[in-house]
Amino acid sequence: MNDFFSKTDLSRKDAEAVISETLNKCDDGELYLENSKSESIVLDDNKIKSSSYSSDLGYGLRAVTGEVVAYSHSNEISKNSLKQSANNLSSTLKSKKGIYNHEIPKTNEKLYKDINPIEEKSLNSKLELLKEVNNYTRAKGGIVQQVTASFAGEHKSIEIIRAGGEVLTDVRPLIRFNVSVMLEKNGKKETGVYGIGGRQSYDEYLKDDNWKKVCDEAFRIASVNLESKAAPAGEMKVVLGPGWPAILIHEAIGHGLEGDFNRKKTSAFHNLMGQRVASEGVTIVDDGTLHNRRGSLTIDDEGTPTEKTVLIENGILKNFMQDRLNARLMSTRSTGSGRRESYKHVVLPRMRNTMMLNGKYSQEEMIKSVDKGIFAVSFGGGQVDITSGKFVFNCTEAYEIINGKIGSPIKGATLIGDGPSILKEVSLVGNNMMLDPGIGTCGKAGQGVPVGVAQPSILIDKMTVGGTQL
Amino acid sequence: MVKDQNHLEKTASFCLDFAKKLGATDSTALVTHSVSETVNFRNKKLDESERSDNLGITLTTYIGKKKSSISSSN
Repeated sequence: MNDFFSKTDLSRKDAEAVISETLNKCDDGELYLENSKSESIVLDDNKIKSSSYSSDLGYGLRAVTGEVVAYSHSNEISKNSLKQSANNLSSTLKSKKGIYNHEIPKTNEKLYKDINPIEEKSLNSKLELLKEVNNYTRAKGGIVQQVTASFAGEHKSIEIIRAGGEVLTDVRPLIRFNVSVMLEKNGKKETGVYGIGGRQSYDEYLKDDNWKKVCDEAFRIASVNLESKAAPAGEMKVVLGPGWPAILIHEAIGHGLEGDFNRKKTSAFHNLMGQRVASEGVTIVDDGTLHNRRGSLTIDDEGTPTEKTVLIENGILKNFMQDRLNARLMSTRSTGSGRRESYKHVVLPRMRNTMMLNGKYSQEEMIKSVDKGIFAVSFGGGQVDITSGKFVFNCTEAYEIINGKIGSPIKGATLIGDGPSILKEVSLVGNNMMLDPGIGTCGKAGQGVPVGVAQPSILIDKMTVGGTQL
Repeated sequence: MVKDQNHLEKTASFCLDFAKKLGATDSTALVTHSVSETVNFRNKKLDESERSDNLGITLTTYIGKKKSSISSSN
């Protein structure tokens, strides 16, 4: 555990006094201390292209009264600096008066081990492994033109001190391993990308040659795309594969179920609580309690233990995701969804691992039921308006479906629609739920936080596919 | 208060000298200190205020054609 007060003139006792004095007339708030170390190594074009290491230490002092948030952060943990922050908060909120809410649930559970991914393996061993990845992937044949592989590791220690001296701590490891392969055949170039990650030791990802599976998968995706033809265009049935395609649910629906957009009435879902918003059989949860997953947190960034929040149950809207501020203003409780990218950022209600749960149909049944449509297995980039849920996603692996059978791979297919409408068009939910490999980062208000997604295969009856085939 | 120019320059040249001592053929150091204040109003009411105080160092070193970069705010 990090001792934030060992190298500063600020003692824990002094800090507690400043916190209590600043926050005693506010509704909520805390001092959030963070020490994060991150490392990334990239191999490209047969050589180690770059390595970087970053270390960041700082605090954020937050005071909340009514709807107003006053926040002050600094990377200098000192008496002087904290005092300046406290003065700034007090002058912002001087005309407001609140009653401090001391209540915060507790947990003894730990969802991940205290591992330091940066120190547990030497830099040299990581460099060697990247070279091995490069050699292994290039040995797959002369069509391999380029291999890019990278490791990223992070170790984040946080401590939350609340008014009254209550202390909550968490240590969060995070790892990401990524491989990108470019192939060339008959003058056509295609790229395949695959990655894995989570809150575990490097060994978990690299044991039993797990890394080879990542290289194989990146190579397979690129190979499939080499054989691809132009995508069809128009409105048609779409089968989404299990796992990562749930990013569409995250973007197009999940954001609309975050407390802040609903309190401010900017979400399409704000007046639909208890009503049908999706087809029967659609159940969506946001779960922060899965062990070792990328989106999991033992406690959120306000100190609330995370939970499995049921958002939509059998098509009926049940809950929003809440941080403490929005929960208080909406007369409900926090769902442990208050997150921030770092001490430099204010808390917002955010997703953790967003999952559509299993239905009863097999993927084969879904594909069999489609005369003309597409089967989307993986997505790359996309754009979304997170309040209305309008989106455009690019498929990185997709196939046409003709007369109930999977046909040729297609290239350049985009899926266009809006979340609330798509939810009602889901006609079959599969029984093959899969978690994504641990690669997602969610962006909101300029803050990026690691998240996970999961879903079984689903059949969407009507969706606009953007393609280039005339 | 923002730290004075002299202090930042001294820190930067310390980093450059140290990198050279360790065998760097070239290096750049960036030392920054910024203080900012932002106030947001929503529906004619104060919604959010933010003060940011940030002191940071980024050191990039080259040995021949190899490059490495680290940054810190500790």
